[in-house]
Parts: sequence; C-alpha cells; structure tokens
Amino acid sequence: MDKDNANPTILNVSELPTRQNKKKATAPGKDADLDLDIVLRKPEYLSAPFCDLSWASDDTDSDDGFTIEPIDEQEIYDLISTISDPEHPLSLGQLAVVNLPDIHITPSPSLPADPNTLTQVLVKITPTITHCSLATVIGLGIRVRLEQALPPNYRVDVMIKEGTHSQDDQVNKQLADKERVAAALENATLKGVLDKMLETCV
Amino acid sequence: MAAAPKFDELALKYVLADKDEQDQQQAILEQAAQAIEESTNKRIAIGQWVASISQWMQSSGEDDLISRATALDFLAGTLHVLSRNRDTLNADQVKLLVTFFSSLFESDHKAGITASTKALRQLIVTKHFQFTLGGDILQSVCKLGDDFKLQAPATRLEIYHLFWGLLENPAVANDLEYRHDNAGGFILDLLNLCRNERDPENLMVWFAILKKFLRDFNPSTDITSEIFKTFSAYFPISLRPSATPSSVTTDDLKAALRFCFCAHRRVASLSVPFLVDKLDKVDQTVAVKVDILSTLDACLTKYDHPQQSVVPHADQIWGSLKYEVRNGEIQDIVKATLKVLCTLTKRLDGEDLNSFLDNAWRDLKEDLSESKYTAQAGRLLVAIVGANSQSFAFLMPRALEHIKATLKHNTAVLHKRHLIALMSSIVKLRLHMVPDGDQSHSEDTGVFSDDLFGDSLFFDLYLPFWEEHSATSSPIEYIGLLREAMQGLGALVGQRSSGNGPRRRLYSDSTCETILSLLAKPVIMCPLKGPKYLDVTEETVPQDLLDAGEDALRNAVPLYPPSLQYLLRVYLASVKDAYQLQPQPHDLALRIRNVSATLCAVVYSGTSQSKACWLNDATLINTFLQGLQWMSLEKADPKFLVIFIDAIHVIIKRALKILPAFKPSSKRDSRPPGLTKEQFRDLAEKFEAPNGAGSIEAPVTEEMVRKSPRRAYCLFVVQQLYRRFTTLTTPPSRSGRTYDGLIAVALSEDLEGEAPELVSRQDILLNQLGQLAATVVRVFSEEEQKALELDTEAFRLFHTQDSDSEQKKIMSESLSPCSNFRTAPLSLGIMQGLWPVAIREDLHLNATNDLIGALTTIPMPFSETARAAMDALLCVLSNKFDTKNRDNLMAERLQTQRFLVQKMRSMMGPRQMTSNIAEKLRLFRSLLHYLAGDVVRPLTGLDENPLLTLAIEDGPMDIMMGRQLAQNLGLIVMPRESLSIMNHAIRKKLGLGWFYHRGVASHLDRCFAGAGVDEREAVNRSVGVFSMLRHLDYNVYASEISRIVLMGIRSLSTFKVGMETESLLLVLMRILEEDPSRLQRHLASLIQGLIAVYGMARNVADAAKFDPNAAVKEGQERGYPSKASGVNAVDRDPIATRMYTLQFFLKLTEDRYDTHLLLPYRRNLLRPLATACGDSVREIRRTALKARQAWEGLS
Repeated sequence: MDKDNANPTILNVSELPTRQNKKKATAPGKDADLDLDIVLRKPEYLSAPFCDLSWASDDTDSDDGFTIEPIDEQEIYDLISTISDPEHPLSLGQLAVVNLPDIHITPSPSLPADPNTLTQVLVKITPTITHCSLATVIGLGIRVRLEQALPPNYRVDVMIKEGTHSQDDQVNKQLADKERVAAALENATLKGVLDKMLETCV
Repeated sequence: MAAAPKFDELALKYVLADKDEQDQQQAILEQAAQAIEESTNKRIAIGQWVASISQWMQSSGEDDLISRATALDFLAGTLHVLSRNRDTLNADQVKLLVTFFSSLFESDHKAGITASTKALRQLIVTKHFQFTLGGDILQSVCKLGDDFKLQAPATRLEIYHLFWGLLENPAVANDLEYRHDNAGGFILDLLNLCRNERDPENLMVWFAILKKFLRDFNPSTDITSEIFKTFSAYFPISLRPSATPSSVTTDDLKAALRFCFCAHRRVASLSVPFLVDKLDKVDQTVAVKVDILSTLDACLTKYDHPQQSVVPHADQIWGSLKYEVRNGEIQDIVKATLKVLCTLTKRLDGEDLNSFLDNAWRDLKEDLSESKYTAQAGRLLVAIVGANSQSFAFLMPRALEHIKATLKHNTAVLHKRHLIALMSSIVKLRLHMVPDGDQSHSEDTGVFSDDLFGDSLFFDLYLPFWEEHSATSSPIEYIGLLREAMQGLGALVGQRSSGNGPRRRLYSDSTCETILSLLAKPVIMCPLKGPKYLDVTEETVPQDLLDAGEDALRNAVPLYPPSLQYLLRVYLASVKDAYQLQPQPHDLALRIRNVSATLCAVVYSGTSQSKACWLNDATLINTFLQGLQWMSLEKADPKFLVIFIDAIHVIIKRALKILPAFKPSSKRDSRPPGLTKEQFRDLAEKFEAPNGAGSIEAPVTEEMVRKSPRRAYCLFVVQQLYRRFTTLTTPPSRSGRTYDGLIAVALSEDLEGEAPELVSRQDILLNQLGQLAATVVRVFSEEEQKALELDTEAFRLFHTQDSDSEQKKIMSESLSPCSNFRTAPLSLGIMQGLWPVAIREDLHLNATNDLIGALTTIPMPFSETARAAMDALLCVLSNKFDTKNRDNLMAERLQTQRFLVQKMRSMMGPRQMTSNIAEKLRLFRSLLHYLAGDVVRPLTGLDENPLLTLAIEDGPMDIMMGRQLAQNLGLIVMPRESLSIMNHAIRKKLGLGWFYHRGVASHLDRCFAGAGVDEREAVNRSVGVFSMLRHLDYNVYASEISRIVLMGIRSLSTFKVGMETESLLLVLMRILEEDPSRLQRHLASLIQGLIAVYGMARNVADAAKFDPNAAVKEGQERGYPSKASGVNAVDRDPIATRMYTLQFFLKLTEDRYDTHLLLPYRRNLLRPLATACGDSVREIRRTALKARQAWEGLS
C-alpha cells in the first residue's frame, strides 16, 4: 500500500514535551551513596512511623514520592503520544499528530474539583497531510486509548484541528458518532489495526 | 606357533564385538598390542597380526564392507595402542605397513579409508618412520580422486589430520619441498583433492594446513595463486544451522580463514585487492563488512616487509575505505574502518608515509570544508594522525591551519559544531599521545607540534570562539558549540611539551586560569548568581551545558592541580556574592546545594586511593567549612548552613570509605596503631586555623597529607562543628534531677530564635550534623573510641578539652536538658557510632535512666523532633547495654524495665481519664523504642523481659487506648539504621525468629473472637500482629500462614483505613509473592474485601480534601503543617493503602494463578479499577491503569 505521506516531519523524542524532572540524574560512575541528595534526606528516626514531622526543607518532594496532582493535559498527552502511527513506525507524538496545546480539559484541572464531576477531555489532532485517509483511524485510536485509561466520569472528544484536513467535518462527524464508533470496534480488521497502534503504549 | 591363532581369534572377536561395547574392543586391542610387544620375533608376530584379517580382505563383496572396515580398524586400533612406545616397530616394518595401508587408498575406497588413515596417522609418528615415505603417502591418498568427497566427514577429518601430521614433521616437510623443486607441487594435488570441502570441523584443519603451507613453504606465484583461489572462495564464511551442530562456531571459522589471508606477505598482492573489492560490493551485510575489515586489519598488521606488502596497496585501501566512513551510517563498520586506516598508517614510514598522508589530506581538506562531511572527515583525520608521532607531526600543522580558517569563515552552527568537536578530539588525542616521563627522543624533537598547541591555540581559536558564542543573548542552539568547546578547554590545561628534556606545561598559569574561568563561569558562577547563560527561559544554565562543564572540569583538575584552588576560590566568592545580592534569588539555597554537589563531583576522580585525592578532599572540606563560617557570621538562615554540613558529609563519607573496616577481636596486631587522646589533641592543634578563636576552619597542609591522618582530621571537623553550634551553660535548676548543679551543653547563639519555622530548620541542621558525626565516629576501633573518651563526648559534645579539671567534675554525662533537649541529635550521632564496650558502664546506666526519666515526664518539656532523637537515643542505649554474662547489669536492666512497667501501668486501665491520650501514646512509643534495642540483643527468656510482656500482652487489651497501642507494636521489630551492624549494634542471629515465637505466634489464637476472646480483643490483637508481621521475614511466620491468611481476610473488614490496612496489605502481598497457593482458596473474599478497602481509602481521602474540618479531626493527634506538595500524613495513609490495594490486584494477574481462577472476578473488578484511574495521586493512577489493562486482557 502506498503511504499517504511517505515523508513526514519527525520530532526527536527528546524534544517532546515531558513533565519537568527536577531531580538531577546521577552521573554514571558516581557513587550513589555519595550523592548530596541522599545525604540530605531526612534521618530515618525522623521519618514515619518513627515520627511524622515535616522536613521543612523547601525544595524536596514529599518523602514517598506521592503527590496529589489532578489529571492534566500533560498526562493525557503522555497517554496518547506513544500510540503508533498506523503507517509509520513512529509515535503520534513524534509525528506531531497530537500536540500538548491541542489538549483541553474542562473544568480546568488547576481548579479543585469533586472527583465525581463530569470532566470533558477534548483532543484536537493534526494529520500530517490534509488528505490523510487515516485520520479517522488515528482519532479512533486516541479515543479508544483514552476511554481505556480514564475513569468513568471522563468524557472524551476527539476532533481534527481546524484547517488541517480537507474533510474535517466528515471525520469529526464520524468520530463523534457513538454508534459508528461502536460498530467500527466490531470490525475485526480495524480492531487489529487499533491493537497494533496501541501496542506501544505503556 | 601358539600365537598365530591368537591374532586370528582376537581379530574375529573384534569384528564380532558389539559396536557399543567399546571397553571390550579396547581390551582386545590391548591384548593384540601386548602380544606384539612381547613377541620374541616381532617380524613374524606382525606378519601374523596383519594376516589375521586376511579372511575379510579377500572378499570384495558389498556385504562384507562393514566387517572388512572393522577388521582394518582392528589393525589401526592396535597401532594406536602400540603408539605408547614409539620404537616398537622397526623401519622395515613401518615401511611395510605404510605400503600396505597406502595401497588401500587405491584398492578399497569403500571400507579401507578410515582405518588406513588412522593407521597411517599412527605410523608417521613412530620413531623409525622414514621421511621419504611422506610424499608416497600423499601421492597414495591423492589417488582417492573424486571418491574423496564421497567419504564420510569424519573420515575426511582423519585424512586432514594425516596431512597436518605430515606437514608438521620437519623432515617430511623438507623432503616434500625438496622433491617438488621448491614449488610444492604436491599441494596442487591436495587442492584438487580437497576442493569443495564443506564440513566446518574439516575446514578448520584444512585452513590450518593451507596457512602452514603458505607460511612455511616457498610456493611459486602460480601455486600461491591457486591456494589463494581455494581459500578465498570461502570468504566471507558463515555457518548454516545444521541438525547436527558441531563445536565449531562461525567466529572460529572466520578466524581460521583470516589466518590464511594474513599467513604471509606473498599473498598480499592477492588478498588486499580481493578484500577491498569485496568491500566495495554493494549489498554486503554489516557482519560481512566488519569481517572484511577485520581481515584486512589482520593482514596489514601481520604482513612483514611493509615496503612490499603494504605500501603498494596504501592508496587503494584509502581510496576505498574513506567512503565507508564518509558515507557510513553503521557505527560498527565505521569503527572497524578507522581501525584499519590507523593500522595502515602505522605500517608506513618515511616517504611512503608522507605521500600517503598527502594523498589523504587532499580528500580530507575538501571534506572538512563541507558541512555534510566534516564530522566524518574529522574521524578519519583523528584515526590517521593518531597512528603515531610521525603522522601527527606531518599532518597536524596543515590540519590545524585549515580548521582554524574554516571555523573563522563559517556561519553554519552545525558545521562549526563539527569543527570545534574535531578540535577537542585532537586536543584530547594529543594529551594521550605525548608519552609520560622525561624520555628524550633525539629525532622526535617537537614531534607533537608543541608550538601549535601552546597559548596560540587558546588565544587564536578557543577564546575568540568562546566569546563569540557564549553571550547572554546567544541563541540556545549554541549550547552544542559550547559543550564541544568545553571538552577541548578541559584538555588544554593538561597539554605538555613533547620534545627533549623534562615535560613542561605548554600553558602558562595565567592562561590556565583564564581557561578555568571560562569553564567555571557556567558551572559555578552563573548557577549561583547569574547572569543567565544563553537565551533560555527556565534555568540559569542549561543542564546539558552544566554537565559538559562538570565533565571538563573533572578532567582538568587532575591534569592541572592548581585548578582546584582556583575553583574553590571562585565557588566561595560566588556563594558570598549570591548571598549578598539584593534581592536574593528565591531558590538560592537550592542553587548553592546544586553547585556544592557539582563541586564534590568535579573533585571526585573515582579513585580516592591516592594521597593527592585526600589532599583534594581535605581542601574541599576546608572550603565548605569556610563557607559555613562566613554564613554563620552573616547570621544566615540554618537552611544555608545545613548545605555545607551535608557537603562535608559527602566528602567525609567518600574519604573514609576506602579505609579498611575495623573488626572487633580480629587480628588485633595487624591493625594500624590506634589514635590516642593525646595524639588527637596534638593533631588538633596543628589543624587549627592560625587566625584563631571562633574559627572553624581547618586548613590543609602538605605535611598533614603526608601523614594522612584522615580519621583524625574528620573527627576534628566534627569537633569544630559541634563546638560551633553548642556552648556550656548551667541548666535551670530542677529539684530532684541528677543534673542539678552540673554544667551542661546548650545550643550556641548561632541557633537562637523562637519562631517555629526557624526552630524547625535549626533542628534539621542539628540532625544532619549528628548524622555526620555518626559517620565519623563509627570508623574508630573500640580501643580508639575508649582512648578518645567518645562516650563522654557524646554528652559533653567536645567541650571537655577546654574545661579545667574542676569544671570537668561537674559536667553532666547525660543528655543535656538545656535548650529543651534539642542537642539530642548531636548526642545520638556520637552514641550511634560507638562500640558497646567503648561506653562506660556507669555513664551508660545514668544516661539511660536520665533519658527515661525525661521521656516519661508529663507534660513533656520538648518538641516532637527532639523526642524523635531522644527515642532513637534510647533505642541505641538499650541495645548497646551488653548484659551477656553480667549479672549486675542484668539486674540493672530489669530494674529499668520495672520502672517503665510501673509507669505504663499507672496510665492504663479503665479509670484513666481520656485526656492526655496523645502524651500517653508517645510514652508508650518510647517504651517500644527501648524494646526495639532490647529484643535484638541475645536474651534468655520472656520472663526476663517484663516490659515486652506488658507491651504485647497487656497493651492491646487496654480499654482506653488498646487499639492505638497495638498499632504501634511494629516499632519493636522494624529495621533501623541505628541497629545495624555498621553502627556496631549488638544483634542476635535469628533474633527476630525468636521474637516472633515469643511475642507473636503465642498470641495468634487470641486474634479470633469466641471462646473467651471478645471481638475487641481479637481486633486489637490482630492490629498488633499485622503491625509486627509487616517487618518480619516471610520464612519466620510461614508455618502459621493458614491462620494468618484467615486473620487477614477477616481483618479486611475490621481494620481502620490507614496504618492498619497498610500493614495488612503488605503482609498479604508478601504471601502472594512467596506462596500464592495459600491465597488461592480465598480469592473471592480477598478481592471483595480489597475492593471495599480501596473504596474506603478513597472516601477518606476525598472527605479530607473537601471538608477541612474532617482533616483537622483526623489529624488532631498528630497534626502538623501540610507540605508544599499538599500531602500530609492524614492523606498519606490512605494513599499507601490505595496504592497497595491496586498493586495487589496487579500482582494477582502476574502469572501466579491460572486465568480461569481469576476470570470470575474480572467483571466485578473492572469498574473499581476504572474509577481508580481517576485517583488524585498520579502514581496510583499509573498502577491502576496497569492493573486495569492486565484484568481487561484476561481471557
């Protein structure tokens, strides 16, 4: 099969948006024991369950690495950017089909919210070329991935980003039609393609 | 003639023997051989022996093949046995036998070959073998003709070995060469015979034969060419997978074939063009190309007389191989190619070398000017100039000039980056090529272009380049340029002269300093005080650049030792400047910490063995001490001071790590002489800064390093720091206390201030300092600790020395009550590192009792932080109390316990008021800390531990606070650093097993309601049991696992979400990992129970988040400020529970059970797992997603 876009622009994996990692990686060969971060940790006898005091150092994370953070755009991005493109051995993130600024969550995750509030996630995808025949499949893949990974109170919408596809109306209509989506998932061939795309998700 | 039938008999027996009965056959052969050896007339005996097989030899029918072969094998086998004595057979007999067996190659191609070959192999090594027979044998064998390839591989192998054996015999080899008129024509027959060999094992021998022939004979060109044709037809060789795998690998074959190619220079004119031609063929795989290149490399290395063998091909090799690098994408190929080119250059010299380099440079010059090929050309250049000093000296002047010019006239960032990277490689290459020591090579004067690599290189190239690209406004793309340049700068300072006379540095001190300042700016200065490096938004200096700079500096420090002093000066000055900036950067503390860590890493060379490294470490410690001193004079916040303490800790750990560990009671004599108090005092005086009082500096001198008293220096640093942050005072009088009227230590004015936030940061400092002391104290031996009286210092905190003897008498030897006991972490630090025997008995007892007295006072006059350190101190003291075989101490210990029991009892019971629960709980926890130290020590029985009985039996039964007490029982057994062997704790082997049987197993029955056990007791006891089990090894409780599982399932519905469920889940998870079959019958109730637990944990968290009052209510007892991350303990407990529940669900699917066992629960579980994907904690969401996918995937 001829590829729709045989020569897409590819982003380097290291250039994709990631969560800022504050911790400095230990240089190889350096003794982990002698890392300043490790020495600075709270002495054992001041940690739970010996004693439960805050270690008022203003720049360390909580001891156990658990932080309360809502599901944000970056997390959605992490879930879908690793999906493989159906025609290239590359991820949707590398092909810039999904982009962090094109993910919208309402109500905004920065506001405190009841865990049971209905939340809407809108992902706008950018096909690599305007006549991409696989845009629907990609949209479907993203939809399936998010529905499998998000809790029941999340509603997922996938759309083509305005002006990036010659038939965006039609594709959007297909992606929004629940029955057509359900029917598509019954199709064994299509299911096979989707499974292949989602294989690379971790 | 009695022997005649004997050989016949033997032969018959041999032929009829079962092929599998090798022992029997061997025995027959032995008999035959013995008969020959012992016969008086060997000629006759041998005649009879040969004749014994005549009955089979006469028949020529197809059916008799096997018998005939076996019969011949009888002869061959006998010869094999006879070969143990090389002169059994005389020359005639050998000749006769050789003729006989050789004849079979003509007459009996079907049955005779294997045995004949075997026999001949034996015959050619006999003493009386005549070398002239060698040629005859070869001729006979060659008569096999086309029937050779019809022989079985094993037979052919025998024949190859026969050839090998003949060639190995010098006399035979000589004769062959002579007879064939220097041409070795016989080899043509062999080549003809052995064409088309395919068997790997046979090929190994065949290649060896060819190699030997090429090397040891002197074949004509035609014959050489024939041989070359034969073996080169196999190239590149590979091994097809076969049903009968041989022991030969592809690599063996490749190596054997490679030896043929490089056997002798006379094949050079054939093999080099052949290999180059092969390389140029398109569609070669990576493995083949690497094989070709390795073979070529072997040829170039091995051929002698390079004038004839290498020089004629040099240009052809270059012309072809340069493209492998220029257009190459596969690193393995590129590397192998560069290796060949380097080898090639090494083999050339004089005019040939120059002409080769001229030729190469024409290509390289062009490529260096073209961005697309610069990097590749650079690699080629480094490969050829790196070959030897001649090529370096010949090519480098032109190359440098060209690189400089290209850099100057170029604007493309990528091109510049490749060029500067090439420069750095060259500079580093030179560093490695200039030989060490003061060798004088008269002809090598200036071989490494000293003049080109001196100051001019820096000032003409690096400095302008750096200045052009490192401006604050420079775009971020320049980062790559700077990183590459840094590599070169780091290597510049180490450049040395290469000519006659002693090695000297090519760079002046001032230039080195300028170079270092370029590197120090982005690594040390800018991260502290700015300005930003490059046009970036987030960090001051991009991490990549910082890492590259750190690397460059790490390399530079050993190359140019004065650089350390310079860097340290820059560091201190930058810290001071940054601190005085107005306004101060909000994250200054973090910045200082990061830069300090960088500095530690820069100075760390990985091998801290040498004294030079210790000098560096000590210098670094002193710098941090200076920083600390300056900060405390500036009245800086404790958060700044603690950075320096931590940095010192890192360096001290590093410096002490290489010292041999002291083991008690082992090889006392072999130890280095110990440190005594007097010695330490003398040393301390030397260490002390000349500028005197109040200073905590400890300047380092060469002399100090020569003696290398690392441990004394480290102890001195601890002493200085302890004294700095504490002072002597008279504690407020409290009647009835032992320390009435005594002098004790208190916190010094550096740590004044009342604000809770400030006090909390001061406490961090004190704790960190204590831990630093522990690191130092524990490296001393028992004797040294005693001599240094460290037990006393644990409470006097090194103030003894300055006090007069009167004062000493009234100085307290218990934990100081001053400053609200906040010096406890300092005392703990020292005490934790002491050997038990280094603590004086009276001091130990008094200190323990005073500490217990303080801890059991209500209301408590100290903070939670102080209490934590005091509890830890109590644990250490109780553990180091060595009662073994000491009745008086045992009595003291029991008395202490009784006091605690009495104290505890007075607070328990139904009549007690509900107030003060929190304080009572704290007291109970202190008691558990005491027990923790006590139970790991060797003991005899529970009777001797009334406190343990009270805690475990009566604690959970208490009507008012039994449940809370039970929750805390785990404190007794949880692993602690302070009770580790490293800290010289007294530990009993299997101590925890003992504890389990005495303290836990005996209570399991009372964890189930019914028969005299009420529900409350059952639940409380279960809480206690699980809180202890979570810290115990699975094998300890494996025997009671059924009961524990039942208890666990029941507890899922009775335990409170938090600490209780956390322990329970950890134990269940351990059982699941260790022995899943134990849970198999209970899967339904477990999964159901766990779903409920997760739900509850989620509800608790959600409620806490939305109802601030709930949080206050829950956290009333242990309320403390929530952290920046928003997680406080109230939330954290359910977080762990939720995490463990999901991990449990995930682990269930990990191949522990058959899918059909799990499928019934899939439906019920998917919904809660989907909900869990919306958990408020990201890590939990991740686990939930994994579990959800795992369960979705079950089918």
